[in-house]
Amino acid sequence: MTIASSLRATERSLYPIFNKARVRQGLILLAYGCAFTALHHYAAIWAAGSFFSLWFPAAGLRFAFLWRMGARMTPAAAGAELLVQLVTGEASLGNAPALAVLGIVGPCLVYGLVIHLVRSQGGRRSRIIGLAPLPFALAAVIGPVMACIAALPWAVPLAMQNGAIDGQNLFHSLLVFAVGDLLGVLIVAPPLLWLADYLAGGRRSAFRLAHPAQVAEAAVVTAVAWSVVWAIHEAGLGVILSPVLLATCWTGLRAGRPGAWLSIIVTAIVVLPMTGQGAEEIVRLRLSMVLASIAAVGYLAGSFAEAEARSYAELERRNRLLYQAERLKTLRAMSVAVIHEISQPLSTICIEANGLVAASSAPDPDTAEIAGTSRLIARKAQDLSQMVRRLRAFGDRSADAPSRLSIPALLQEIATIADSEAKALGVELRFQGGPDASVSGQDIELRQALLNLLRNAIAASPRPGRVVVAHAISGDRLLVSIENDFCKSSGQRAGMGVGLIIARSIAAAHGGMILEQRPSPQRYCYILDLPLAGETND
Amino acid sequence: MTDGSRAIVYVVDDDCDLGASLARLLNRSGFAAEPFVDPAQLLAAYTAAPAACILTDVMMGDLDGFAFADRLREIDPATSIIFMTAWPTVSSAVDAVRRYGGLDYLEKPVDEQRLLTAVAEGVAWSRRRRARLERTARLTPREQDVFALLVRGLSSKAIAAELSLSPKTVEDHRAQIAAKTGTSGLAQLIELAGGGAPN
Repeated sequence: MTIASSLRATERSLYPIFNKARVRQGLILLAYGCAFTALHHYAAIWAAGSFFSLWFPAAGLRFAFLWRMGARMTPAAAGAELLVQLVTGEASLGNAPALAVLGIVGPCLVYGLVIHLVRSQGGRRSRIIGLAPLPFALAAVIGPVMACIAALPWAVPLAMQNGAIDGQNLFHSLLVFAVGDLLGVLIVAPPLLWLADYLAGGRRSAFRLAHPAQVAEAAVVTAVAWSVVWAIHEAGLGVILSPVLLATCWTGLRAGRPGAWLSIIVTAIVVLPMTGQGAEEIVRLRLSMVLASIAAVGYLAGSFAEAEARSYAELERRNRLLYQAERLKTLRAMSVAVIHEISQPLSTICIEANGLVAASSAPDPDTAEIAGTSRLIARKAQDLSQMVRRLRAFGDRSADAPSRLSIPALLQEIATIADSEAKALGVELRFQGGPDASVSGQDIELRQALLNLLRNAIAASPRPGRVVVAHAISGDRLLVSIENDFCKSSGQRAGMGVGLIIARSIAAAHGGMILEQRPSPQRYCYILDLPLAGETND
Repeated sequence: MTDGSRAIVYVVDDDCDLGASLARLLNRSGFAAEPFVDPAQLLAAYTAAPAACILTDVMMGDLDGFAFADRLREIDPATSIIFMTAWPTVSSAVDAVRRYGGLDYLEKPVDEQRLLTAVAEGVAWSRRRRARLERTARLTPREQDVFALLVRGLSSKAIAAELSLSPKTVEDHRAQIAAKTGTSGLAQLIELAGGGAPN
């Protein structure tokens, strides 16, 4: 090994410690520690009892940081909090350093654990809980509560340092802790995360504006709620915020997280000044608890509404995929039928053309035979060209526009397509014909609906069996009936029933429907009911 | 229409143009071919002129190619059958050969060379099969039993035990079988019995 290569190896081994990403991460952590300490200091305005604050924005920053950076960063974030607070003198270790350290890093560790658990386990309990943004809302509500409960092991010994334990005071302090953290997380964390998303240029969906009608509705509901609060206050009954709780929940359900958050902010702007130092302790605590409840309920409602909308959109997307898959299946069946239709005349042409070569190169060519063979080839080629023209019309863009469609002609085409499949399964297709009639509609879709019904009937028929197709006019409606024998064992062969669902949706889009009848216990009949096209081609 | 030296081949297809074309092709290639649109018609007329080979479509109207093959086998176990279809699937191909005793399974558009080879093979197989059937047709029912066990490789003693006969009687039957079929030795007997499958 040369000196140069050993130097490079040393460089490589040191690189992970001093690489840019690590330095950047360290700076971020330091900045986080400073911001946390600053907010911690600012929260002293709302301090109550021996504990923190009734409004603790630092918890919101911590939650947003851990949510954004991942639960893995929890120990590092706790370390940064501890370091900056000790260096700036915001916190001191006192005469029980272990307990003091635990008191500073404990909440951060609990937050990280809750975020990790909600993210990894939420979706397993219930599908909707796993859908964004519900995990965030759940973690934001559960985190502060859990941090408060987990504080007992170090809060009790800390309280006992000053002599006998004062249960009431301890409970009060823990309550303040939970309320302050809850408010801090729900008010500060969402906008911080939206800001981070915006700066990262990512999902704009966080800023998806609600429909103006929804905004107006939320505004009216909020205004009414605050009017009621004001009226109660004017009547000398004090500040009672229950109407605002209802309004925020309503707004969340209707306008999602942004609506809920705005409602929460409005409430906080009104309520927080009332809970600053100077107000009566009990009033401050009550108001803060109501504010925390409003924030939790509103944010959960908003998140639930968004998760539900997302779930609905996902369902829609899957339905569309299913629809496309079904359409491909129909196309496949059609192409198989077309292959069958083409290979018959093509076989004849090939054989006869070879025969022609042999006949014309004979020493004494039979001209009558040659002429006959040539005529046969020409006739078969003509059949093929006609089929190609028919198929070309099928793929034509104009086929997508609604047009006037002759039902006998349409059924004829469907018969050609389905016939080979029916034959292969030993099912006889019988078209009984009917009056000349037209409907106005989308050519390919109507074909697909008819073909789906017909293929279902063929699949459900016993072998050998018979499927009868007929059509009739009743008033201004056209009725196409597809009737088949039914045997139980063949019913199990049928697919997922998607074909029928799609046929139904196509019928509905054409102002029609599909009726189901059982002329006898062994026979099934599906009737496609469509409005007839008017006299003029509109 | 069909002279003695040319093997009879019937073509069954519900597309009358294609059936006629295939028959013309086979006629040009030295067979005595005749097209049929309806398999039932052919079944009705079959015994008058049994064929060496039948070329049939699988997907036809009332009677499909497989059901037709079953009915045909009942009338004539010595004719070879070749299936053709415009919609080939693996399962139908396996069925065609294993269940319905098809010699080949051809896709449409038909490859002429493969068709002619298959028909020639079918004619040859049918000739051998007919000859064997003729030679074993003269055996008595008991001799047929002994013959069936012999070609399975059983000794005279084992056959005697199986059929509850004396070994001497079995030996007599063996001599009769050899005389009637014109075979000498077990190898020829087994070869004679080997006409059950098309190959």
